[in-house]
Amino acid sequence: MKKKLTTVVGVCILPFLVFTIFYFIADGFGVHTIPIIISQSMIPTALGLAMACIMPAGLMDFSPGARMILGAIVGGLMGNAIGIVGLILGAFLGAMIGGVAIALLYRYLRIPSMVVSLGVVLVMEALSDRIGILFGRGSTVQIPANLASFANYPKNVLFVLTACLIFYYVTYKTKLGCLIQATGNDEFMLKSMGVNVDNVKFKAFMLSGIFCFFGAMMQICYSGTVQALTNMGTMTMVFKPMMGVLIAMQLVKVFDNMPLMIFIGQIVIQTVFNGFIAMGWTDNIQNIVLGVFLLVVMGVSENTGRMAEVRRRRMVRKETKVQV
Amino acid sequence: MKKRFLALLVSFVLVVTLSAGCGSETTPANTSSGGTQDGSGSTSDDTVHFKEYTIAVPFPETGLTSFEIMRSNCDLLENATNGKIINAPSDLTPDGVLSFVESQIAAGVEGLIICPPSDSVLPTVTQLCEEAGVYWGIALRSISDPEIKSLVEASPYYVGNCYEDEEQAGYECGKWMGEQGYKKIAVISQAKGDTTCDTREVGLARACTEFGITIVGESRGHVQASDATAATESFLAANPDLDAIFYVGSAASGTHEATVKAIQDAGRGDDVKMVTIDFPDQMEANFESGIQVYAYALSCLTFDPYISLIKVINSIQGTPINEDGSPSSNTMSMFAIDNVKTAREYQTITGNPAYKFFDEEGVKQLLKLFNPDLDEVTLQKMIDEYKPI
Amino acid sequence: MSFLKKSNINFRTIFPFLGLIIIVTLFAILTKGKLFSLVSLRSIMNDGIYVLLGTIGFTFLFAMGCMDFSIGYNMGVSCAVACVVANTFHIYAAIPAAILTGLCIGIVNGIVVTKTRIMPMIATMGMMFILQGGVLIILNGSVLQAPLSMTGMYTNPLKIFLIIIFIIGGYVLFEMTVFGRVAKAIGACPEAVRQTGINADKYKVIAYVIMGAIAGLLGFISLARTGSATNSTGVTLMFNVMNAALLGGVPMTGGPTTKFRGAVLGALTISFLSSGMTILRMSAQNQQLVKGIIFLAAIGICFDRKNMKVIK
Repeated sequence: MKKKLTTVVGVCILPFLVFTIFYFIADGFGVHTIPIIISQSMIPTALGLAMACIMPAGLMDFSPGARMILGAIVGGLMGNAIGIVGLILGAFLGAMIGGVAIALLYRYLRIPSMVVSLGVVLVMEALSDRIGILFGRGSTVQIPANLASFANYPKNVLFVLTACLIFYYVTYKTKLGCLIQATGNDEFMLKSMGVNVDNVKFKAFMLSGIFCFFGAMMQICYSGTVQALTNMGTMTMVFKPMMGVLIAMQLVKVFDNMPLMIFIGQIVIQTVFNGFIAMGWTDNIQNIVLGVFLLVVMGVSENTGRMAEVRRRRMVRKETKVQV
Repeated sequence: MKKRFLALLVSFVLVVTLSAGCGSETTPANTSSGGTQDGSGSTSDDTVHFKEYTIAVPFPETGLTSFEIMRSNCDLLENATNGKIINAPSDLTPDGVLSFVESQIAAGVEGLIICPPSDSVLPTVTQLCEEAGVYWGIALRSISDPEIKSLVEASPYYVGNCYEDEEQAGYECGKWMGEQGYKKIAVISQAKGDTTCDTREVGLARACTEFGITIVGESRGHVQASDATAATESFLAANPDLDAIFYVGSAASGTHEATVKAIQDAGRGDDVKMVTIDFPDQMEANFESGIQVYAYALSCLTFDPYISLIKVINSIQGTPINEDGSPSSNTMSMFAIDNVKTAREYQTITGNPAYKFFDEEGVKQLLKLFNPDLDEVTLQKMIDEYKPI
Repeated sequence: MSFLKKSNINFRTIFPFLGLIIIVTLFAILTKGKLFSLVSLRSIMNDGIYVLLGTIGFTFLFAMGCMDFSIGYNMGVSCAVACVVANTFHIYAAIPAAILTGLCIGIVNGIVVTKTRIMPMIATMGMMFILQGGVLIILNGSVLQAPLSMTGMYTNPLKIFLIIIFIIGGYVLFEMTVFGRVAKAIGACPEAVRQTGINADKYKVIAYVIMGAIAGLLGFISLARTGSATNSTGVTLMFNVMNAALLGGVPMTGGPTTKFRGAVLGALTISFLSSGMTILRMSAQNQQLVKGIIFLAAIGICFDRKNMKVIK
């Protein structure tokens, strides 16, 4: 129990630990950086939650970025026309259209999720651009400051908190959440037990659309402008949230609270990046460190069993030597 | 059986595609047609006949207002000269430029504009265009390698280039900041390898050395305004004594305005200023906020490729800018804006997608079929005298 | 359809062929023959060689159920190293430099995937970030130009030679050798392969080495074609190659249904499709929309669902 508590506390203070390291080694990095780090973690956290609906089911989805941009563009256009109600409605519609599309395509085409998501990215990006050109001014949509203030800092923290609570409730307190986890563990067995696995995965995609809505609201309100990207530009937006989710999926083995772990993962990543900026490090160093960080984290977590086995054998050898 | 079926199908397809090839249209070499394509806003005389042509430009139609201005000016040129100017956005990478050239030649264009990221692609472009008989020009760049320059300029299909002194632009901005007493700046720029920004940064580095300015941070390759907001917030948090954020270049929309907003939201509007190369779309509002204090650019970014386009059109019509067909090189001067009043005046250009560089009469002066006296010197004079306001 | 059943033709098997034939025919008609002009074919060859060679390498990985996200930046790093070597030593030294660089990166990828047991997608994503930073360091953040004579190396006979060699060599290696059979077996059931005493890790590393070497060669090709190395070299390679492989019917999960011809068909389809749409003057957004729809439709039709108990 004591050991469990220690590891849980260790996980939760990880962001503070990283912050402390940079506090001492980087000039200009201090308590005043905390609101920036939190604010910059919000959109990746929302995207991370969208991906975390799907990845535990063993599926892969690269489309949350494209769906989020579609939601932001539709929301921005409707917000300019109708006001705050239009912004919320439009962002929800845009994000959910993406969620429904990918869910339907995955269910009825019956092809791997990664393939579906690649196709959806291509289509959604082109659609976002087309909608922006048809109804807005080019592929860029801008909203006035009074609308943008609806979900900028610190209100975006409330947004993400709401999203996290919804995620926590669905994942841990509903049957759907349980079935999503079970699908990731052994889908074949679940099918044999009579569970409609296709339905579960369909709902998982739809659920991810809700979190894309939160991301879309924050994306357009953060700076007041959103631009449609093409040429699979939105896929680069999901790499960092995906890293956060991968880290969270390892941390969850220690403390089972996925939204908190995703948030911790994103906070750690943003702290590291802001620390690099404070140290004046350039993009190339940041990318290298990010890559090494990912490999180290995943390498350690995938091999904890093997490392424990090595430690055990070492201990047995020591004991045998002592006995002799 | 499967193989027979496939063999039959392939044979059928071969026959069909060969027939399609035989049925292809051939455009006669010297098609002449009087008047405009659609008859609206006709500007051509009855005595002047323009050959039909298609020219490809590597810029998007939408996004930054500069691109929209380019499009609306191209529409006017199309009407005046019986041609088509198509936007075929390409990566500004060496592979991207070559793919653009090859694919547009395959599509049957008569002219091209390119913005090469390096001189090394130019010999290949020269060869491709010579083989295809396609006229081509360079926008926003000059050729720095002397060997490549002489090879390219020897080609009868190369019409010339337009360029600005990007290094000087970077230096001028750095110099102004130095003279204001700025000691610490953060830089926002395109990803490394963008020739324009790299050249501007060389000039900036020179000014920084001369005036003792330190670049405390840099952020590159923004694709969204939110990237600019995040970068600005990080710079402000990491550097309490930051003097300015300097925009070397940005291809994403709304980034300058996002930076201004981020500085305002952080309550640092009195201490931290913004300096840009290229005029933002919302320049007036930026200057009025008191945060943007200096901008250095052409009146419109796409005026440069517009002039390159004019050269290509003239060459296609058989009336190159220089009588002997040699390429012409024209330079454009950038200028500075450092007050709200001038910013407001230029906002009518930078913020207006329908802005025309020249009206119909002005366009005629740029076409040798209407203005036989046009040459490299007179064109340069027109560029130097061009005053949008 | 009954005709197909009677003649034992598997529609799913011939669909990639049909798809290529339909696309070529359609665009040949719509472009009024311009698609088959010499200039167009040369353009297709110049752009398509990257996708074709990349897809051939990817097929070996897909057959094993593996993936490599880092091939684009591998190509970029190899191109940068080749440029440095060409400037420092001799232009011909750039060829082995590029291939060796790609090979070494492939070895690292293979070792990381097999020894650390990290999912190939994640491991190679990490490598992608590292190489992204690495290319900027090698190029010192700028564009590096190679000697002018370099572009003279990239001739049409060389391109055709490379294409033929890789198609023949890849086919023989994949369909007629033990390596190819083991690769498919690993994709079908890694545990069964392990229990038969085959060192599956060794074959995985070899597949990554092949992919790395091909990426290195592509880096050299890019350098010879453009005469310069930039940090954006190869950025779009990975997605184009993956799209081509999937469009050609190469299954991501690998196994015995992986056919080499899928790589060639997919690469040709993507190349003709892109070229045809460009000649028709379709805007970039419309091109992307069409590609996305065709991508989903084609894979939806020719994906082999029968042999998969679970579709992830």
